[in-house]
Parts: sequence; structure tokens; C-alpha cells
Amino acid sequence: MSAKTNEPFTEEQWLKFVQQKQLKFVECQDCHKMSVIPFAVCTTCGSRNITWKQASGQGSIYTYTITAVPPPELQAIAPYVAGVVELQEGLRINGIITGVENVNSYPADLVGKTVSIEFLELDRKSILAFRLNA
Amino acid sequence: MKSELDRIAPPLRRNPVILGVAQTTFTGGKTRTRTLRDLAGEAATEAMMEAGAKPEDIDLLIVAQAAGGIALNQLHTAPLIAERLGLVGIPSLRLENACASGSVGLHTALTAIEAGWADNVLVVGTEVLSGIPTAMIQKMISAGGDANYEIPVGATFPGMYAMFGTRIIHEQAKGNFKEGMEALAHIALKDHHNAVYNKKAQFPISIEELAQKRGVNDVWAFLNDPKTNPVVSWPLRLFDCSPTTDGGAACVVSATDSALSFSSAKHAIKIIASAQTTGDLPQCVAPTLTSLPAARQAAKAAYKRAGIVDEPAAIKKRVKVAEVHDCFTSAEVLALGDLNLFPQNETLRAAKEGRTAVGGEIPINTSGGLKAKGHPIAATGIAQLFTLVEQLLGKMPPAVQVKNIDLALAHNVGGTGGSACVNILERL
Repeated sequence: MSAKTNEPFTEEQWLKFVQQKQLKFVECQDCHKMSVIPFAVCTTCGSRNITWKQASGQGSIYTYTITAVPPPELQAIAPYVAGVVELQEGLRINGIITGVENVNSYPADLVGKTVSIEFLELDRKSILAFRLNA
Repeated sequence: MKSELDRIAPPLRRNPVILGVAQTTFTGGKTRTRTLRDLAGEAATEAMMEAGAKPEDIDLLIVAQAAGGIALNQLHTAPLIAERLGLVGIPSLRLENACASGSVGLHTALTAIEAGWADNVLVVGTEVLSGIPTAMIQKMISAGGDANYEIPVGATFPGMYAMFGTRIIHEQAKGNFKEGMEALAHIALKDHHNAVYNKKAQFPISIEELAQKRGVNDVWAFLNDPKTNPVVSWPLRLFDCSPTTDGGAACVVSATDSALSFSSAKHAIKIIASAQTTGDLPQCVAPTLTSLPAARQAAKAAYKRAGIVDEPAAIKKRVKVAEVHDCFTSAEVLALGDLNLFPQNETLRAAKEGRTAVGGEIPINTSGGLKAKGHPIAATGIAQLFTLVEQLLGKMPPAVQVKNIDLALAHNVGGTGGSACVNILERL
């Protein structure tokens, strides 16, 4: 870990980034393993030469669901689309999918549709989301 | 370093056997009628009686318990249950691997026997979820997911199994949801058909009969009506989901060389393979969402340990009946592929064509499965063994008894595949 950084390679830091409306991942500078779950020592090659990278925020829907029965915290936006997005970098991440029309009438297969990152603001918390590209 | 096989599916050199196994009736509802201790006590007492085991025969108590800490404010369940069973004074532990807790309990018992630490182990799974507010139930079920990567972005448990379903329908049915959802509904119909014969099931009734009771004669009209079968998380609807359940299950596992094995037990069922492994959590990190890699890895190891060639026809020649983890209908589709009972791209079709019904190529969930029998989270893995032992002993009701059984298989998954177990049983 570089001595100057005040951005430790921890899950807590990843969560802070999300609150700052940034999607980041760690990359090993030696074997180039990438992970959305941060590590300070590479879990593949053991290197300590790790860095935070900013995700491009561009990707496509790998899979999704339309949730009619939401958890209490997401009642305000239900029914909503939740998905797994495959980022251009090749990593996958869970997020809310926005910009889907006629959610209630269950639109045709959205798998493979391209999306761009955005962050929703709910109860003063930032939530990772992706908007369906027009 | 150990080989992958030895690490995941230990050699079981002491030839472990199940001497007794029991489950309580599974129930649900708004009012609580039994406690964790009641359910564990009832199942364990019955299992010990069948095994001819007295409290002083038991060397180790393993309690599988998942939700008590959140839902009932009850932890430390191993001594709680030891007290009920007269097992104070022996080692005990409680373990939690979400919905796979029961099978991980069995696997841990086998490793204790393998190590020579114990000769006879009592494994008890117990769960109480009735009388708990819905919001609390949701919170409890979500606790098997990832609190930072999944839950805040709306990935509920039905939602995550719906996402497996979507990807399967995308790949196997070219995104035709009507066709895909019909195939999933066939799994629910089959499970409920089997549950009719299970006196201990939470829903011992067919969906056809349920529809008729509500004045609908056409079961497909009933299943396609959003009023009777509402969407929970598209493409999963109400009848694609297992219920919340109270229940207990227990088994006595022993080394064949222990005195108990041949003295007072009524019968013995050999465990010829027990595989347990770990998969990705969160779900999104997994290399595929049309398979649970941990379940596939556990199945491969279990087949290898049991001397079964890992190829669909060869497996079905030996394994004649299986209980699989169908917490949602999409989970049963995953199981059919991960156990390699059907090619990965044919699993939806196999379910739809009745190839997994009694009388089909490989009867799956003759108990009614988690879907209709009920799913008392930590008790589920042991309850699967109860049904398989009944099958192997020829004690199932004739309508669901599979004939000429060689081997029986249990497949139990925790969360969205973070934990997976496969056990293979044989009648001695």
C-alpha cells in the first residue's frame, strides 16, 4: 500500500466511495486481478501492490428482476428493477436499474441492454444504480 | 496440501451410518405454537429412539440453527437443546450456514467421526419463523445475503433467485418469459403432487385442488391470474417460492466400528459420500448465474467419492431418487444442472416434460421439496435425509415410493450458493 493514501483497501472505504457517488474497485498492479470486494494483499498472487480504480460506469445488464415485494427501505421506489450489471472492465456488480418503462407490465427481455452508472438518493443515502441507455 | 477431493469430500474411513433420523411436522402461520427447543426435542428424541441411543451414547451434539438470533433473540442454542435432551456434560456446538446449516451439521459430524473425536453424533436442525412480523422475516432471510453489496441495492432473496431464473430463461428459452415461467410452474405443480402423500408437509395439497377450492377448475388459469399467483419478484410468482416454516429434524450418525452401530439400532443407512464447499458471496461475483459453481463442485466430488461417473446417464443409473434445494422453482432448475442429471441447456425442458416426477427419469423431491413440504431453514438439510432414508427403507407411501433404489442423493444450498452440500446414501 502506498504510504500517502488515506484510502485503505477496505470494504468500509468502498462503502464510503459509494456515498461519494463513486464506483471503485481494486486492481493488483502485478497480476492485474480486479475485484469489487477490496483486498490489501492480492488473493491471487500475494502482491501488496494494490490500487483503487474508478469504474467506467458503462456496462450491460447480465440479469435482472422486477421486485414487487420490496424491503421496507425501498418501499418508496417499488416496484423496481434490480440487476447484475457487467461492467466494461469485465467485473459484475449488483445495482438498481432505472429508466425502464412500463415496469408493471413486465417488459421484454432486458438482458444485454446497455446501461450507464448513476446514484439514487434515498433517505439521504446514496444507492448504486444504472440507467438504461436510450 | 490435500487434494480437492479429500478436502471437499473426506474419505469416510470409518464407514459412517445413519442409525436414526426423524422430522417433526412442518407448519407455518401467524401464531407460534412450538419453540426451538420443542421442535429439536421432538425430532431428536425420535431419532435417538430409532437408533437405540441413550444420552450417554452421544459424544457430540451439533445444533444447526439459522434465524434465532435475529427473529427470536435466542443464541447459544446448543446448550439450550442439550438441556432438553439430557446431553449436559458433552461437547456441543451450534452452526449456521444459512439454508445449508443442516447439511453442514451432518458434514461436521462426519469429520468429527473421521478424526476419531466422536463415535456417535447427534445432529439437530431447528427453526421457528411463525408469529414474527413480515418485515422481521424479510430482514432475517436477507441476512443470508451480502449486507453491503446486495441488500442496499434491492437484491432480496426472491429477487436473487429471480435473477438466476431470468438468466436461465434468457439462455434456454431465448428470453421467452411465458415459456420459461410455465416450465417453472411445472416444478411447483410436481412438488405439490408429491406433498399430497407427505403427512408431515406444510402444504399436503395439490395446486389443482387449491384452485378448485377457490372455484377455479383450470389450474393454468389459476396460476396465470395475478390475483391468485401474484408476482413476488419477476419472473418468480407466489407459487414459485417456498414458505416460511417451523420445523425440526434430527439424525444420529455413527462410525460402523462403534458399539452403538450393531447393538440396538433398527437399521443402518450408509453415507458413502459427503461433500461440502463454498461459493461466491455476493452473487454477482460468481462466474455464472445459470449454475451454482459450489453445488457443481460438491456434486463432482461426491460422485467421485461414491465411484459414480459424472455423466447424466451414468448418474441416473445409480442415483434413483434425490431431494434437492428448491427454495424457489429456479433453484430446482439450477440443481438439475449442477447435479449433472440433465445437460445444463436442457434443465428447463426436463422440468417441464415431467422427467423429474415419480415414474420419470429421476424423481426429484418426493417429499414435496422445500416448496410444498416447507423450509425450516436450518432443519431442511436433515429433513432431506429423513425422506431419503424412508425411500431407501421402502417406507414411503406407495404413490411416491421409488422402486429398486440403489443410491439416494441430497443437495442442500445456503444463500445463493455461498454454501453447498451433496450427500449420497446407500442402504446397508
